[in-house]
Amino acid sequence: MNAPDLDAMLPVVYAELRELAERHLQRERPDHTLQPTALVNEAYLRLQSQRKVDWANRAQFFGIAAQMMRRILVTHAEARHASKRGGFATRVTLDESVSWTDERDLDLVELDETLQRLAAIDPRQAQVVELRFFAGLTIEDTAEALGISPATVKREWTVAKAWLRRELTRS
Amino acid sequence: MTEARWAAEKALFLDALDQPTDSRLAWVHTQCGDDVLLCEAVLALLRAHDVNDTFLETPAAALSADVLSDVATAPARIGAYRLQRELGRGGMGTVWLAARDDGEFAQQVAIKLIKRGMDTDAIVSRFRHERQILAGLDHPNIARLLDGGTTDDGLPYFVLEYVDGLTVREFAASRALSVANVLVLFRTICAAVEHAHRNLVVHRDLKPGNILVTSDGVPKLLDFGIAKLLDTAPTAANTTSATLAAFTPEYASPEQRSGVAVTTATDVYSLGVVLYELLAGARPNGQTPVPPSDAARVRDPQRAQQLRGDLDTIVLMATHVDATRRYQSVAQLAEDIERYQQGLAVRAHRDSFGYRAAKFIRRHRASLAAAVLVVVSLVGGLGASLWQARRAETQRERAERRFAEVRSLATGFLFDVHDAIRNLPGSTPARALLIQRGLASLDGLAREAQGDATLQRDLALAYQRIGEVQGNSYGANLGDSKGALASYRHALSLLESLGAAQSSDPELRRVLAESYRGMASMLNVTGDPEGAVRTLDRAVAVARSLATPDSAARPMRQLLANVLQELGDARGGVGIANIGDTKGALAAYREALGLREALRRERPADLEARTGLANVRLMLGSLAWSLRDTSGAASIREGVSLLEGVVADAPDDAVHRNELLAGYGRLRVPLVDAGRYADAIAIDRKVVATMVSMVEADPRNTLLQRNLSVSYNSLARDLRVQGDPAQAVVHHRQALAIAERLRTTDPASIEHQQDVAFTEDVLAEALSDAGAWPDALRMYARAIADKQALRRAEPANPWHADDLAFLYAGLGAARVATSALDSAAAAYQQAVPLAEAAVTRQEGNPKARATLAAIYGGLATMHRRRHEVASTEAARSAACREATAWLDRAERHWRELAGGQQLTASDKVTRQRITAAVGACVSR
Repeated sequence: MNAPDLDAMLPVVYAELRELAERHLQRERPDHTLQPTALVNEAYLRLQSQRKVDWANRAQFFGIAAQMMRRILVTHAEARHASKRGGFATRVTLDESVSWTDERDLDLVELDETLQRLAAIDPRQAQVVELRFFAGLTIEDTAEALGISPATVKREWTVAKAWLRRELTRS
Repeated sequence: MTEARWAAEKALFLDALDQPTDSRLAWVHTQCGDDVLLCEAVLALLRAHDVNDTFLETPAAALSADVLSDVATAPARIGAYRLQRELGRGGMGTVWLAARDDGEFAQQVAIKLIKRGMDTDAIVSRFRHERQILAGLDHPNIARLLDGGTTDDGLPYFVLEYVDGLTVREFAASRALSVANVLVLFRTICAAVEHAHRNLVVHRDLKPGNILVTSDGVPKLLDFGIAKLLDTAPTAANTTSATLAAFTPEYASPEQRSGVAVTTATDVYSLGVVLYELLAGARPNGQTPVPPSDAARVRDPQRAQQLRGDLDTIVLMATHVDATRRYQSVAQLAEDIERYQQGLAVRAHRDSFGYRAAKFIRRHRASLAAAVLVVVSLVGGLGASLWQARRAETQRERAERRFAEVRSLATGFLFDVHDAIRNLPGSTPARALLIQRGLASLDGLAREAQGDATLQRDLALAYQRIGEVQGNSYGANLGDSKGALASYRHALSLLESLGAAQSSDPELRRVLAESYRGMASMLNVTGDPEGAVRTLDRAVAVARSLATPDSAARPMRQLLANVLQELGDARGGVGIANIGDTKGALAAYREALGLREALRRERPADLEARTGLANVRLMLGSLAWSLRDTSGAASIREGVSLLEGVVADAPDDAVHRNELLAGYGRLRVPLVDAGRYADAIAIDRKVVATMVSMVEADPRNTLLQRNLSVSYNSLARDLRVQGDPAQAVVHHRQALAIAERLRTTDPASIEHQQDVAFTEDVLAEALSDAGAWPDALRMYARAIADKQALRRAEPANPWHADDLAFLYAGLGAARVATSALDSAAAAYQQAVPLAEAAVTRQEGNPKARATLAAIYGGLATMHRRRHEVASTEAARSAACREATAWLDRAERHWRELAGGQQLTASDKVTRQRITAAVGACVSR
C-alpha cells in the first residue's frame, strides 16, 4: 500500500469535515452540543468507504483531521471578527462587554496564534492541544495518534493548558 | 523563548506540581536560585494552572456549535419590533437591529436581548422602577431608552435609540484625531455624562463601546442606567450568578470592582480611562499608574511630548485609584480640560511617580508579580524603542537617540521605579527583575559603545548606579554583592579605558571615585577588607584631585570627607569589618574631621555639614574609646548633640533621626562596657522621653510612633539585661500597645505586622525571665501565629522562617520550664529544621549558628528533664543518651564559633547554663 499523498488528501478531508460540521449544526437541537470525536470518526468512515483515502491507520487520520478542524474553526472565528470590525457598521453596546465573573469568551483566533508560538518551542505539546481541543480526542486516542503513552499525553496537556493560559492572560 | 529555556521552565513546573501546595512557592524560589526570570515564569505557570475551571476542556467544535445555535433561536419579533440582523453580542446577551412594523413609521431601533440565566424578575422590576427616570434623560448626546419588557420566552429586553456610528476609539483612530480635537470631543461627552448625573443617573459602564460617534462627529452615549438594571443583587439562593455585575473590568473603577457602592466618581474614573486611551492610543495597563505620555512614547514620541505635563496630570487625577483623590465631579474634569485648552494652570496636582508606584505596589502587596510586570513593561518599552531606532534611523540620529535612551536608563525611570518600590516589603524580586532587565539592556549597549566616549561615560554611570542598587549596604538593597561587584567592575573598566583618572572632565572623575567607593563597600561585605582599603585609597586619591578649595567644588570636598570616613571605617572602624589598622583609621578620621569642620564653618546652618561633622565625631569618639582614650566619650557626646540640633531643625527627616538614634547607641557603649547599666538605661529613658515629646508634637506621624515603640523596646531590653524583667515587661507592653494600634490603622502594612510579632517575641522572652510562665506561653503562641501569617504573606522572605525557629525554641523552653515535656518536644521539632535551614542559607553567619546551637542545647535540657522524671531505668538512660547527643551537637557549633571569636557574651552565658544543666546527667 502506498503512503498517502497528504497534500492531495488535505482538500478532500477539509471539504468533508466542513460539510459534516455544517450538517451537524443544522440537524442538532440547539441545546445539544456537537460531539467532535463522532464527527472525526464519521468523516474517517465516510472517506474510507468512498475509497477517497487510503490511510495507513486511524492515528494518522486523526492528526490530519485535527489540523483541519483547527483550520475550519479558526477561519470561522476570523470571519466573525471581520464582520464585527467591518466599516462604518452599526455598533451597539455589549459587543465587547465581558461580565466580570463570566469567563472571557475564548478567542479562537488568539488561541490559534498563541498555539503557533507554542509549536515553535514545543511541537509535541502543540499537537496534543490540536488533537485534544480542536479534534476533541480523548487522552487515549491522542496517545494513539502520537504514539506516546496516555500518561505522557496527560502531562503534556496539563503543561500546555497552563502555558496557553499564561500567555493568553499576559497579552 | 528558546527551547532550552522552555525545557527548564517545564521541568520545574512539573516538579513543582508534585510538591505539597502550601510549600510549593517557597520550593520554587529555592530551586530558581538567582534566576528570577525563571522563577517568575514558573510561578505564572502555576497560577495559570491553579485557576480551577474548564479552560480548553470543551472541544472547540462544541463551542462553535453553541455560538451558531443561539443565533438560530432568537425570536423573529419582539413586541412591536421585527428583528432584522444581529449587531453584536457579549456576556449579557445579543443586540439586534429591529424595526417597528406597524407600517406607520419606519423607525429603526436597537434591541438588547438579555440572555437566559440572568435574574429576569429583578431586572424587570428594577426597569419598571427606573423607566421614568431613564426615559426622561433627554439629551442630544445620550441615546434614548425607548422601551423594555420580556419576550414570550421570558427573556428581558431593552429597546434603545439606534445609533449609526463608530465607537469613539475607532472614530478617533479612523480620523487620526489630534490631541486638540480629542479634547473637544471628550468635553462634549463629559457634558452628556454631567447631564445624566444631574438627573441622578450614574452610567456605571462607560467605555468606548458605549460611546458612539456618528459620521457627523456627534457623540452618543448608550446604555445609561442599564448596568444598574442588570446588576443582580446577591441572593442566598443563587450565589454564583449573584456575583454577576454588569461592568467592564478594563474601565471599571477600583471601588466598583471591589463591590463598594457606586457613585458618580465611578463614571469620572471610567471617563478618565477613556480619555487615557484616546490620548495615548493604549489603555492603562490594569491599574498601572504610567502617565499616558509614557504609554504613547514608543508609538508616537511627538504626541508623548504633547501629553507630558498637564494632560498626564489631568488623566492621572481622573483615574486615581483612591476615589477621594479624583475630580469630585465630571464637571470639574471638563473644567480642568477647558483650563488646559485655554492655557491656564490646571487644578490637578501631580502625584509624584514614586508616590503612585509605591501606592500601586502597596495595593498589590500580595501579588508582587503585578509590580514586576509593570516594571518590566517599562524596561521592555525602552528595549523596543532602541531596536526601532537601530533599524530606521540614520547613523547620527541613531547615536543621538541611543545617547538619550542610555541617559534615561542611567538616571531616569529605572531608578525612579526602583526607588519608589525599594522600601516596600516584599519588593525584592521585583527589584531584582528590574535590575536584571536593566543590566541586559546595558550589556547590549556596552558591546556597541566602543569608540563612542560619551556613550561609554554614561554607561559607566549607569553601571555605577546599578551597583549601588544591587549592593548599597544601607538598608534597602538587593543584597546582591556579587552582582554589585560585577557592575562596579564594568563601570571601572569602562572608566579606565577612557583614562578617567587623568581626565579633564570632573564628572568622569567623580563617577570613578563613586565606583571605587561602591566597589570598596562590596569588597568589605564580601569579606575582603584589604581589597576594600586598597580601593578606597584610590577613591581618596581621585576625590582629592576633585576637592579644590573653590566654592563650586564643595560637593567634591564632601565626597572626599565621605571616602576618608569610609577608609577609616575599613581600616579600623568600631563595629564595622576592618583590617585592624587603628592608626590608619585615626589618621583618615582626623583628615575627614578637618574637612567637616571647614565645611561646617562655610555654612554653619547646612544640615549635611552638621550631620557629616556629627558622624565623624561619633566614629572618631568610638574608636578613641576603644583605644582606652577617655576623651572618646566626649567626642561621641558632641556628635550626639550636633545630631540633636539637626533633628530639632528637621524633625521629619527619618535619616537624621536614625543617625541620632545610632548616636545614642554609641553613647551607650562606653557605659555598658563599664557595666554602667543604670547610665545606659538613663539614655534609653532620655530617648523614650524625646520620642514621646516628638509624638505629642506630631500625633499623626506614624513613623514617630513607630520609633517610640522601638525605643520602649530598647529600654525594656536593657532593663532585662540589668536583671529587671518585671520592668522590662511593662515597657515591652507599652511598645506592643503602640505597634498594635498602628497595625489596626494600617492593616495593609507588613511593617506594622512585623513590629507586633517582634514585640510579642521579646515580651515573651521577658515574661519567661520574670517566671510568668502562663503569660509567656500565651505570648509565644500569639507571636508564632503572627509570624506564620507574615510568612504566608511573604513566602519569599527567609527571615520569617528564621524568626519562627527562634520562637519555637522559646516556646519549647517555656514548656520545659512548666514541665510540659511532650509539647516542648513538639515545639523543638518545629524549631530544628527551620534553624538548620537558616544556617545552610546564611553560610558563615555566626548568629544563625548560635541560634541553632542554643536550640540543640534546649533539646538537651529537655531530655535532661525527661531523665529526671522517667519512671523506668531504661527510659532514664535513653533520655540521658539523647541529652548527651544533643549537647554534643550544640557544643560542636559553639566550639567552632568560639574558635572564630564569634561567641557573644549572651551566647557564652547560654552555653554555660546548658552545659551545667546537662552535665550532671552525663557524669552519672
